[in-house]
Amino acid sequence: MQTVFPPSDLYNWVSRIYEPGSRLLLTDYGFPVDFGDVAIGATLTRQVQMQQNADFVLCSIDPYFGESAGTPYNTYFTLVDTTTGEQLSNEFTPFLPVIIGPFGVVNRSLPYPRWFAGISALSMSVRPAISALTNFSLTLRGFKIQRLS
Amino acid sequence: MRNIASFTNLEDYIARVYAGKRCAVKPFLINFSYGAVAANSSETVQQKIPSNADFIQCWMSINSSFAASELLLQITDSGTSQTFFDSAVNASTVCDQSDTGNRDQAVYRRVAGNSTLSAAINNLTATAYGDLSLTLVGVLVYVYSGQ
Repeated sequence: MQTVFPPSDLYNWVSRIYEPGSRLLLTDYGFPVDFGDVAIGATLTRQVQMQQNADFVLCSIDPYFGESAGTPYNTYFTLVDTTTGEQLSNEFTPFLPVIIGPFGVVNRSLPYPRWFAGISALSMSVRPAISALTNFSLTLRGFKIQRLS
Repeated sequence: MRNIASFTNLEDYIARVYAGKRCAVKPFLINFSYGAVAANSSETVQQKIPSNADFIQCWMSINSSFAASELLLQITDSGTSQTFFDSAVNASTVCDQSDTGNRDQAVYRRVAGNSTLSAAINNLTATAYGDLSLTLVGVLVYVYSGQ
């Protein structure tokens, strides 16, 4: 099932999370994560600090492989909310299942939006299995939520 | 099959399955890492569903970049002995794969918490795979007690 995130559905979903009647400002947002060069078999970890004045909803993970020999098929990642200890996957997982092209014709995002509280700290690791990564980066794409007083 | 739906369809499905109980839903990936798979050989990997949540599968992906049509796949829920398919199927017909693109499911698939899934791959090609992974993409459903 290919999942899409219509804005009106996201607004309704968010309004159910917060107190009824809350005035919410949703803004498209992304957290870039720069890994640089990563050797074959090496694991590189980066920290992502959420903003204090907004919660964040993750909808997709968009990697940039432009200069790398590594591909979404054989580059593995994990994402952990270090604040709560919750993981996005049971182990290192290829990027292929959750990315949007142009690699081949696979076109995916996350199956469901993932809400993170403000001030959360995320830990993201990548590990190329077969081919090295060069100037590798990705963006955690979604939107931030600010509650208006 | 192409099947495109809003994430709210998944909420509707969960509301029906759990009869309106309050649930927390969080995206989750279950990966089966086979590593190197030799030519004309079979490999089986097991993964356990977390004990405090059910898993709703939305799609599957396999990271083979060539000749996936020669990979036969069968997944068995060892808790119930139910299989995902009537018999082993070509992986590229049921999994996202780089050369063939998206392979959507007709509907979602629920796997009860604490189940153990056994995923068997049979490589029928004369070529070895250096790094093979099967990934189930879906959500974990936590049902609040006392509801």
